Amino acid sequence: MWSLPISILLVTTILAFPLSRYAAWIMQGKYRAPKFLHWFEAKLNSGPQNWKQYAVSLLVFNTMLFVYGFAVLWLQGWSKLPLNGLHRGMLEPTTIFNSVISFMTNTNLQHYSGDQHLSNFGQIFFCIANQFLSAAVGFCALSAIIRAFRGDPHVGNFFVDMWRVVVYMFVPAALILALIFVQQGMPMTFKAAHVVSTLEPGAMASATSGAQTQQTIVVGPVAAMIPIKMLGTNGGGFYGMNAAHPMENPTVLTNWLTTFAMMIFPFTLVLMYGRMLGRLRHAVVIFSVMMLLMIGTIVWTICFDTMKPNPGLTAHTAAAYQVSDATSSTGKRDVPFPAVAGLPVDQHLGNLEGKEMRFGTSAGATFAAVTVDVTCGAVNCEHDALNPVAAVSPMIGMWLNCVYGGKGVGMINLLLFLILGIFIAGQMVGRTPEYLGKKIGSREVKLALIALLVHPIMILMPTGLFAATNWGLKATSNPGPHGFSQMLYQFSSASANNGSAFDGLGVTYGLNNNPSPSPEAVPWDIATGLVMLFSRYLPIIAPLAMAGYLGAKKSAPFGLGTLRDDTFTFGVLLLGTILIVGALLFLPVAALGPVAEHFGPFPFGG
Amino acid sequence: MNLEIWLPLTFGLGLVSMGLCFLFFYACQKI
Repeated sequence: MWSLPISILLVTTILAFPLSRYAAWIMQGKYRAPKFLHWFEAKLNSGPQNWKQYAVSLLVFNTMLFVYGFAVLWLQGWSKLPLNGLHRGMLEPTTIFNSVISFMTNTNLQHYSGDQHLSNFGQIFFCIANQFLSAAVGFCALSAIIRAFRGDPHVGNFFVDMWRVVVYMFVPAALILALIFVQQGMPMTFKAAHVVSTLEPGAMASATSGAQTQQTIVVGPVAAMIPIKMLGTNGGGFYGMNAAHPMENPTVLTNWLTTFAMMIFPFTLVLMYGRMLGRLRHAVVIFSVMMLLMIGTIVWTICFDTMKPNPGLTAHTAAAYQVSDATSSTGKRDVPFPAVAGLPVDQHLGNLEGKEMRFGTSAGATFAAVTVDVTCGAVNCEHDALNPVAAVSPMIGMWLNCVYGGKGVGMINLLLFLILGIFIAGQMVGRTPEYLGKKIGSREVKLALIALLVHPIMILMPTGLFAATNWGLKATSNPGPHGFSQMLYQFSSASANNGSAFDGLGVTYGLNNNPSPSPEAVPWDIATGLVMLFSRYLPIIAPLAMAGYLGAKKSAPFGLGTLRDDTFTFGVLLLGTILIVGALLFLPVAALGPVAEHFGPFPFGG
Repeated sequence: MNLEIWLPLTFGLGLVSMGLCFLFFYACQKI
């Protein structure tokens, strides 16, 4: 049970150190590129940029990505486009809107099912392309912030940084992983599907003529997508079942490697931060704080899900429950007990609902905790089926959004907590707060707080709005607190640019010719799309500005009273700031959702 | 869905949202 998380954490930590040295070497341009690659890089280099030019380049590039993605999905049904063997039509417009924003913001929240709604052309030219490019954006933003903190006259060139990240880091790593995945049995073909006769005759039912219906098994360039899906902490799967699908995650080895792949770059970038600043000890303190939080979330999820039974399957005394229901004529609705309540179900292996047993009992819980910590969003188990208290852990990972986090942006989010913590410490001892030898002024604190507050506002306000209207109430599939948790999780996932979900929420319209879409799909598409967009770019722009202003200040000499940032005390300060701010912001809403579900009285929650 | 309304509407909404991000960028310089 514990060998999986322990082995993954150990190996990733060990490999992050040499990889961070390589990453710093690349991002500082100390490599000598081969001639043909150097030619491309020289063409992209529009010259050194200050933080303002860098931010504008980033926004313009992402706007172009939006236009490109919209065009690809809009044209999916066009007969002239290749690689559409299953003749997929166009997605519905708000699904296009949501999907384009989702992939360009590295969220990969999928209000569609890849194998049901996308052609292989879409998977390659929309999904994979966005997965490489969006993953590099956060990486570049962190690199610019580091150079700004160093006081460099320029923060680099956005386009050169993008090139370096994609060509020298993501592509080689993805290639190695893809070869292993192909060997392990992941499909890698341009073919759209295999049509097969099932082993059991009639398993797919029969046509009216009496002929056995064959099964259509969707395939495609899966092994090309999954490496960058994980390495880039994207999370968007080829198949709707994501990493629980036997062809997207065929073996125990691919499960281990996919978990490792989504952790390696977030881990590496924390250390790269220290190396580029010349303050590796400081980075190790930050790394340790994040490791403590990650171990906490993994242990929490395993203890409350893998080591506890599913409360819906444990015996309950027979009783009938009624819940309020605004759509019902009487204003109330009966909630039936699960049919199996009272049966002697052996649950010594813990909560197995929604789990892929071929990976082991704790794999689902481990993956769930890790995927939200690093804002990947891939899932190999059903998060909706996690025990209520266990489900708090993925939510905490998204709410804090700085437990390693996505590549680059997790470290940026932690810097916001760091600036806040240093500011509070400075107030407590009556000294001007300073970081990296630069005095933190009111402008830097304002920018840090604005960036910090975007995330809770983007979660709490829409959740409240949808919970109070039919947009949310008619979309949930469970009554009471669990339904609230579904809504809360969706907006938390969108705001954290995570992309996982409590499936069960009716948010899918899918293809434009869908005869029976989810009734509330359109408001969910638009709302989560806007949340993903603003929660991605505002917390990148404000810290860039903060770093630009801070870096331009004169360095103050290190003195006896300077707060050291490479000590245990600093680590405790940072951890305390993260936990207290996080708790203040999100404890109330946690009480309304998963905690209320745990304490009952519904059969699904104890 | 009526594509002639919804497609340009959603496309425009995305561009307007990116425009708001640009506005935010300018606002950060005023702080």
